[in-house]
Amino acid sequence: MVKTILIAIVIFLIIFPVFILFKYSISDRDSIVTGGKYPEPFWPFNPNLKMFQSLLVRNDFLQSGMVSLEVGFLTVIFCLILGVPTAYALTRYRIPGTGVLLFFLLSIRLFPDISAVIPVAEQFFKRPLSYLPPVVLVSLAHTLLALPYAIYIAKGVFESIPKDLEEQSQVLGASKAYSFLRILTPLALPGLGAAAIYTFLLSWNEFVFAYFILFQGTDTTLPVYLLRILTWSPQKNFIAAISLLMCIPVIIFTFAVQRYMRTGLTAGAVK
Amino acid sequence: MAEVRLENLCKFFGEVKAVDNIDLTVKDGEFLTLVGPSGCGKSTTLRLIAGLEKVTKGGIFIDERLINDLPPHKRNISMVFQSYALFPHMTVEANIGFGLKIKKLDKDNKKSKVGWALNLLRLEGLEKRLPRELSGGQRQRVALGRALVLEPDVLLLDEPLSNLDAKLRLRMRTELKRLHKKVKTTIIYVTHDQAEAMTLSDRLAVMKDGRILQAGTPSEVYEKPQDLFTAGFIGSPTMNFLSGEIIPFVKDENILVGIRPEDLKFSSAEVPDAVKGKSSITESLGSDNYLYVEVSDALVSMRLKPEEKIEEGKKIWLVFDKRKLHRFDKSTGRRV
Amino acid sequence: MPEKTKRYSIWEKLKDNLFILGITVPCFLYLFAFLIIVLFYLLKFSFSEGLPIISILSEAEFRNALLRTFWFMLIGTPLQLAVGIILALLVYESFKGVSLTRSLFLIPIAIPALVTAVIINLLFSYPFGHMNDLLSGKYTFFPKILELPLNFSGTEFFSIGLAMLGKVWRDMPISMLIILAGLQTIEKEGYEAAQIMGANFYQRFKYITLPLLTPAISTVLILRSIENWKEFIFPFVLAPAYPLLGVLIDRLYHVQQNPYMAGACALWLVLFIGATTFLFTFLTKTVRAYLVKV
Repeated sequence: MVKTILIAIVIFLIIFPVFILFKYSISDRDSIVTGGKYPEPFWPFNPNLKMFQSLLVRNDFLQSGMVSLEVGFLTVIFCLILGVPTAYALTRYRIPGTGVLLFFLLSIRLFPDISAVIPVAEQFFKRPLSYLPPVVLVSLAHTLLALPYAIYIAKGVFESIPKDLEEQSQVLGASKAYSFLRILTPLALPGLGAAAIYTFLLSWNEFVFAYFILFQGTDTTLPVYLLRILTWSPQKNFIAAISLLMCIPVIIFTFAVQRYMRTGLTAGAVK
Repeated sequence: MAEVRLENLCKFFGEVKAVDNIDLTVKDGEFLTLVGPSGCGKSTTLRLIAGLEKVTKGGIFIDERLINDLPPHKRNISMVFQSYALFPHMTVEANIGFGLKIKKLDKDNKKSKVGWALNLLRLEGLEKRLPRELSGGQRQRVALGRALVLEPDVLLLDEPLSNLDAKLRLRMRTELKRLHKKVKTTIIYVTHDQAEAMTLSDRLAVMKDGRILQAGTPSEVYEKPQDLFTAGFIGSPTMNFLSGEIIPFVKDENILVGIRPEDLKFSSAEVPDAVKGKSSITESLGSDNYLYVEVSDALVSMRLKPEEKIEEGKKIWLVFDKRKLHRFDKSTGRRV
Repeated sequence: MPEKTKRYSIWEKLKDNLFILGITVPCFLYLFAFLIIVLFYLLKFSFSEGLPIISILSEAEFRNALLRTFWFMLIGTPLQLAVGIILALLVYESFKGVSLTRSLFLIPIAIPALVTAVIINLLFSYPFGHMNDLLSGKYTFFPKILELPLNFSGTEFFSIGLAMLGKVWRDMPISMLIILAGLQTIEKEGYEAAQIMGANFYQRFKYITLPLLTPAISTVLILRSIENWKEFIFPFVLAPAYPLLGVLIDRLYHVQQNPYMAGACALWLVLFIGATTFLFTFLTKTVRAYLVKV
């Protein structure tokens, strides 16, 4: 009984802030500018979608969304190209020093990004890297952050596919390349898809590196855009609508890859 | 030491009757085995006695004291689990001493009791090991020691040998017998292995679908099974069953006749009251040989004497030992 | 003849290794390049003229930020551990709807940290917002506590408290999952055995759950303390007037345009994290040894 009440309280504490964000995003002016005469309502007096309508035709918002998408996709591509073959090698071959490598990966995750960002920004502002478009620079930095996760998830995927399957296919006469493409890849695809989504989400949410690298330029990712808006002290419904639009892909994808997400979150933490 | 009595004991999980109206008395110092196929309710019965499950109906008495509502540790029982449930982070010594530590025994007393258990179970020298550093048999003995050191009135054992390999299982059987002789605790033992039940117990209770079909000494149950299930479950190779109408001296189609392989002989020439059949393959188990005989549409097994041999496909006559014949009612399955 | 066989096998070995090297080296080269860049600049800045790594120690704003971050870590870490343990215990045993509950408990991780900070900003806004309206008794269901609305972001205590609230709320699923995984390695029969031997709820928790959970607890403590040390977004948005070390690094770099001091501050942060990790590892080992004793 105590447990049920506790669970209900926790669920309330989790849902309530998300609900509030939603409420503000559909609020009319009277519901957010109260002048202190009446309390802010928990449901708007005249709920409407005006904020979303105006956002979807705003150029700076759409531009940031595009930048976020480009950075995200580039990061996914870099991470998969670099990470998946490494994960495959780490699971299928006995490489001396694998433990050290994995520890190295883990320590990247633990290294404070606010400390790493200054050297990275310094280097990126210098030639020859400064010739690269900012979008590529941000995705290079995001690749650094996401690569350990991508490797851990992909490693888990390959570990779950018995080596016997590949060997059996080779014994049956298939070439190494054929069995890799026709046996291993189809089996690994859902898991690798999850790794890609996880990488994308990480890039989509990332703030520190994007903020430092894009500090002076005109391009912004969505989180950086949201922060710039915040400094203007905008209306609550406007800020809530941007935040909500930023959340939606994350919420959807997070629950789609929940199972793999756990591996990513707890990778290396549980023996 | 204590007598355990179960009275109309029932345990329902929703619609499922896991334990259905059991009456059983386990005498003081007796080694009683609950035996039956998986899902027959034997483990649930044990957990009811331990207090790990709540009784739906009926009563559990230890020495005529109703203990239904007592928590496990107030019942003065001990239990060994199938998985042993050793605490993986504690040494052998700490595992065995755990119950004493909870009872807040003083240090010297605890040490001497743990020493007694280590000695009893031949675990000296392993005190400082962790469970993962022990062999299967040693883990098993630690679990027993942990249960016995509390000097329980009743010791409950839930399939304690099923995780051991075949050879070790035989050795632990004798070990258990030796222990029981020494400590003389009332033991209730649960197993699905009828051979274990036959060799270990003073008395055994055959269970099926939450009910006790028959309780008795191993020889009673073996020689006078009260129903078809018990007859088929106890004994290996299993009892042969033949329809009554094909046996010349029975001639009753409502009767099913059971006969154990060792109670059959064969003859190459026709003899009175024998059943005609055709010899099939012979199976050798080393010391014993078993011959399979096709009788109408059934396959009957019989034990051969070591010197006996017979080719496949011969026409033979099966001779029954009439004193060892079991008759069951076909419709009720009860012994007649 | 034997020589030929030998040469063949070396060739084969090389070819195999080339393949493995070919697919792993780019990845590690990439990571290694960043490692070099980070270490190079941090050391270069910290040990440049005037030794910023030493001189920053006498700066008041660095000392204040360090102290705030230290308290943020010291209070936030056990708080997050406690929340993780409570959530894990709530969904550990299965009941009807347990998997839905577990999924619901994961929601916070799906909300970007920046958005979480925005939500808190909205809820605690000044002078009128849900929290201020609630505390000044404007809702009928809650008594009046405040005469005047409270400017949360104007006080050190509340603004850093809100940053901590955001951090705890957003990251609670991570601690929960680690503790849950730890709990699931503990056999149910172990509890029953202890119960039969007379251990009550408290004793079972102390002698069995806790020591078996220490690896998970220690993981949570270490990961969380690192996370708290390096926290940036929440204090950046919610407590800009009272910078933590992360916010100070940004301030030094962007506002004061002083990469040397920023680099020195960043290096100190790394060193503090290293020291805390070491301390927590040592601590949890000692505690476990104490619990397991006969």
